[in-house]
Amino acid sequence: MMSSLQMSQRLLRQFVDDPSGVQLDLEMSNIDELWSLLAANRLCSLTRHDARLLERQDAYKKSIWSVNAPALSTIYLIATLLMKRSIPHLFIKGPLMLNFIYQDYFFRHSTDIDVLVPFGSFRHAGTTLQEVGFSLEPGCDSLYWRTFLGEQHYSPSLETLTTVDLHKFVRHPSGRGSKAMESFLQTYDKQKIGEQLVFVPSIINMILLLVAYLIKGVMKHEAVGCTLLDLAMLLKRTDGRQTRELIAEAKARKLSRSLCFALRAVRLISPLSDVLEREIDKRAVSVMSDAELFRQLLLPGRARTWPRIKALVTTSDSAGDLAKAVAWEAGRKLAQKASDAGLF
Amino acid sequence: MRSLIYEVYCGPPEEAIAFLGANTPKTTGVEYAANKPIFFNAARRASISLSVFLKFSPSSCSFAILTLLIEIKRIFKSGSNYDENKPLGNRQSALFFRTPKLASELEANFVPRNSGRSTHNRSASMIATADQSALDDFTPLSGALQISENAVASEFCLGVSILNITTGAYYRLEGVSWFVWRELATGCDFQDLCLAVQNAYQIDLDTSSKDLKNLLGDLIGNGLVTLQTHK
Repeated sequence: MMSSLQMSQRLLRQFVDDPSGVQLDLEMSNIDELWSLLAANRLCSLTRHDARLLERQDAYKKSIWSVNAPALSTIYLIATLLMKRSIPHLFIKGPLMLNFIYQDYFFRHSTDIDVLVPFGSFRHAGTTLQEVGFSLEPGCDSLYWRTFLGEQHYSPSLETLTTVDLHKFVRHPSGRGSKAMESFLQTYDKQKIGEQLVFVPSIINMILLLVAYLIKGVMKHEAVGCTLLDLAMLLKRTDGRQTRELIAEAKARKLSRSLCFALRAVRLISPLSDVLEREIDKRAVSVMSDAELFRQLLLPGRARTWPRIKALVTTSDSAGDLAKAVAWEAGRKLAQKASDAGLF
Repeated sequence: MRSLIYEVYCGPPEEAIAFLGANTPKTTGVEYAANKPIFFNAARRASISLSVFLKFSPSSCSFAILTLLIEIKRIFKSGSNYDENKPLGNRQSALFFRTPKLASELEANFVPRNSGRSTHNRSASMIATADQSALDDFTPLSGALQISENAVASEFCLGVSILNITTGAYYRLEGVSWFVWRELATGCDFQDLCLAVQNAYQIDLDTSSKDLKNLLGDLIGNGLVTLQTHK
């Protein structure tokens, strides 16, 4: 008999193949366990309407609506505002990305919205948000948040809006998300929300961001089934030119090994193109068995620690990067403790 | 100058009281006096998804009262008690009636009931101003009906929840109106819609077209549906 982990792998494969949704042909007792695993990975929307699951499917969708609708209103509001003030920005993750991938703003919960702005515009963007009623969350103004995490959270004054996470860089676990991460802002796409165009990452940047989030999730013991599915769906729609561009961009940003690690994970639920398969072979990022890798991604609570450490080591493109990553992580921990103690 | 304000109220009666102000009479039934709000506390029929909120000048007074009476008649036909656990559209809801002067005072004093974030069902009171000329020009038989780009929708709990992205207003359609929304999503004109409703619910064409005209007027007025007239 299949375990819920194996079953979820099969469901993910089916969904990538046919995104109209998958039918659960299971006993109810097995469904309970599977549903918990899917919920932990924010993947419940991949199931098709099922009479046995109607109540929980409805509750799940209703709870998504209650957070994503305010998120969409917030995006519409602040996109207009940032454009008026000529502040370069990108909406990363969130309902816009969900709509791009699944043609559904409500595929999973987006409890806040993430906006990436350049280093130089970080304060200006924050002031702009405060002018329209957003307030900086207590504790967010510390040096630790600004320097190490590179983000600040702004809470809305109205319940019809949601929290805005303002980022000045995208943090990658194998090194500080430095100014090089601003390259994410250099190429972008526009997406329509209502009648308005808003700025989102290009498909290549979206994939590279998801690669970083996948590894970050593994390092932080988070269930990242949803990120894995996002990646698989995006890779499925890239053509030959985009694939070559992806490999080149990953190399330029020292993310080649990270990309290969993520590709190995995606291969568990979706076939890859020959070009990407060759890229994996070239880098030989083999840190754990396929079964262990899938467990690390979807069920991190039951996964082992050593493979996770090996993953950190092997996803750094050079020894220098690894040394920087370790130093950065040690510094971050110290800064966090100092911040918690109220030193800065 | 005439103006119509469509009030879509999707919340429990106590929120209506908060919206109208502390001095609102908490009556169940109808109360009317000049410059005094009417608070009507009852359930509405599922097919009537949008309550109507009218602001009027003396010249349009008769129309306003007529509409109000129609709404009251409809609401009296149904009748279920307010239940927190029921989906929004099934909740007991309120119908308001107020004068322009009072409206501006109430809007200035309105404070949302909850300021915190919630992962549960949200209730919301909101106002969307309808363009009177658009409603006057609305001739349902002469154009293609489409869901507006500004309407973002999600289906659950035997209905559809809709967000007008430009106004931030929420709407909920259930029953026949949900069926109509689904038909609109496929792209159709008024005649197609009347026939579809007639076939699905065994309603005579006269009744279905009358009800549909009201519903579509609300949907268009609130920017959720567009009417593309034939050239």
